[in-house]
Amino acid sequence: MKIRASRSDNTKRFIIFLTIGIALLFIAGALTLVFGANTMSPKTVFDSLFSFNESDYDQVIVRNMRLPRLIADIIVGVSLSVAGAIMQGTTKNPMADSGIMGISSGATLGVVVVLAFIPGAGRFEKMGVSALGAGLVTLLIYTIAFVGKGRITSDRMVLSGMAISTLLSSVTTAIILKFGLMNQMIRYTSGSSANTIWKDVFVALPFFSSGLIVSLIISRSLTVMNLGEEVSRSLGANVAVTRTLSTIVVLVLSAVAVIIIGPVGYIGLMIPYIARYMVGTDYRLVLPVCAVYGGAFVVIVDFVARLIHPGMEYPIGILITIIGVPFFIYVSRKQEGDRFYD
Amino acid sequence: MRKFCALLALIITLGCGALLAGCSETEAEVAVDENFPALVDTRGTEVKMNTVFTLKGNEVTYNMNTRRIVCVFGSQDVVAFGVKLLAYESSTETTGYESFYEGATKLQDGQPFSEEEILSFDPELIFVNQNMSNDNIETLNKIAPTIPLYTDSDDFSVRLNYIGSILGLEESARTLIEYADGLKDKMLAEMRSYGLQDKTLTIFTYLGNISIVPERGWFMNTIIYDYLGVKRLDNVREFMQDESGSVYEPISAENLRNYEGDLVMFAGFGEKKITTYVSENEGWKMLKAVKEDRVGVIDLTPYAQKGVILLYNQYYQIMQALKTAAKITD
Repeated sequence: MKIRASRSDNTKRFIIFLTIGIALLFIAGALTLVFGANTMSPKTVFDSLFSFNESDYDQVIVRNMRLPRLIADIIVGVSLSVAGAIMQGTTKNPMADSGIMGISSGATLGVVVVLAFIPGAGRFEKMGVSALGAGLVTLLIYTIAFVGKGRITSDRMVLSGMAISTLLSSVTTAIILKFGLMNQMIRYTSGSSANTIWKDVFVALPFFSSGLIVSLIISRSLTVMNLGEEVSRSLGANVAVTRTLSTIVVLVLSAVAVIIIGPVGYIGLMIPYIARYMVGTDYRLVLPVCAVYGGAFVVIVDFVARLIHPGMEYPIGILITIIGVPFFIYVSRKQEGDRFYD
Repeated sequence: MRKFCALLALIITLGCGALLAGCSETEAEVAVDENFPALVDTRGTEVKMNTVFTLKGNEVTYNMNTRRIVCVFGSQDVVAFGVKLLAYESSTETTGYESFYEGATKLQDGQPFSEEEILSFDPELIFVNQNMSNDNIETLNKIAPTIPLYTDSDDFSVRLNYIGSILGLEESARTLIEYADGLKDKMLAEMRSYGLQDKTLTIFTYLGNISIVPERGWFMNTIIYDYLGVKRLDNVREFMQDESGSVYEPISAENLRNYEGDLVMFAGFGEKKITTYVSENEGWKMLKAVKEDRVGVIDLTPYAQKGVILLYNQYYQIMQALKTAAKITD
């Protein structure tokens, strides 16, 4: 009876928070279309969306600069939040995040390798090699975590991920300097969606949509997995398949985010943490809330970044790190006395 | 498992090594002036001691006729006198200027120098940057007399006369100054013949985002806006001279159009092409010059240094880019 009441309560909270999140995302999205280097009238925004005139410069700004940027921000926010939630679920560590654990660094290294050795490569190639880089890092993290006495622990995984992240950042920097890729890579390392064009969005969309759909499909299995491997097996869940699929989803979503905006950390740490606070640990509820609030968060941060010095562009990666680091410290301190899911 | 990990670590290490080793440096395209005055070192071989007060105010005594010279800075002016160096600064790219640097060794350490490396050349005179700290100059003074050369001055008569007086090659200095002035006059006349002197010019660049090349640090701006007298929009000048914000401050794609002059150039870092991120940028595509396919492209790298031997190529590259920007064909 108590369990049923709790589930019903969580569902109510889910509906309320999801509605608030969608409203927030909608308002923030509308604001980013109206305000920017120059303020547009709502009519201009409306016309650019529904009766586009490509000879009208203001409409071009809204349609070809602000709209793809808005969608890119949403894609990045959703991708990193959902990937973070899945990683935290599978590792049972609230500090797991694709940025902190080095997966984004692997994806960035993939992009650098493409730029260095295949300068004419298109966005699809970059996406593929970026995902491959992320995959190799994941393999490396698991391998290092396996070494030594005892079983894999989530703490060991996070620590090995952080060490690998530092190593890969150094290798990435070395390649950038050696190949003179500084000006091209600043785009990927500073974390900015300012130059997003429709092509970027169209390349990312299929990967993003697939990753998101698969994550929603495995959300129930993820919830069951959190009861422990023995229990989930007894409930008929295929732990190996769920683990494999969740790893692939994390890789794909991380690569999508890196290709669009660069290796931005902490989104995948903060948003899932807040989402679990809102709706509990049922991943069927956590993932949609993560998606909506992740998208809204990046859109809002990008909006604020544009207001810092109107007419100029500031990388949102810097703002996110300023918010993320205190959050990381808070979570790590809280984790000491409050074990996740245990 | 341990063996597997060791193997994996080895693969990664080898992979990284291969990545870093596999690069090849691209050679810059350099225009060489066949009319550059071919000067020879006319100094005697006897020891001729001289004492000067340097730009830093220190008193330095040195042998004016020494051939054992190391340039930690300023070799692009010094070699023009026909002086052969023992070693020159690590930042110098000698492609196109090989004859000036015959027999000289490129210093490996340029941050700002390696005492040990410089000592290995057993120099009798060291030229350094005017802005080098007194502590560093003091360190080098223990190896050999060290004289700072003009760094910030864009006036070649000042720069070359100073070197001429240090080495006792005043006549050579006059020849080189005449050459630099002649080159400037020739380029100015060419500019006027094209009717470009009243046009405004904006030089965009890309460093993660589209920006405008800042005024300080790039000799290209001195040549274009000071020597050749090209004009610029007020907001462009303010942007270039604004040192309150970060250098290469990213300009919103929405605002690029506000900075567009009559002529538009794009300056790349180490390459003479417009990067894909710029050409695909919606704000960039909206520029009039881009729509009319008249953007002059230039490589910024040759403008990081000043030197009389570099002048011809620097002018030449600018004129080529300006002609493209103005759609002038020879």
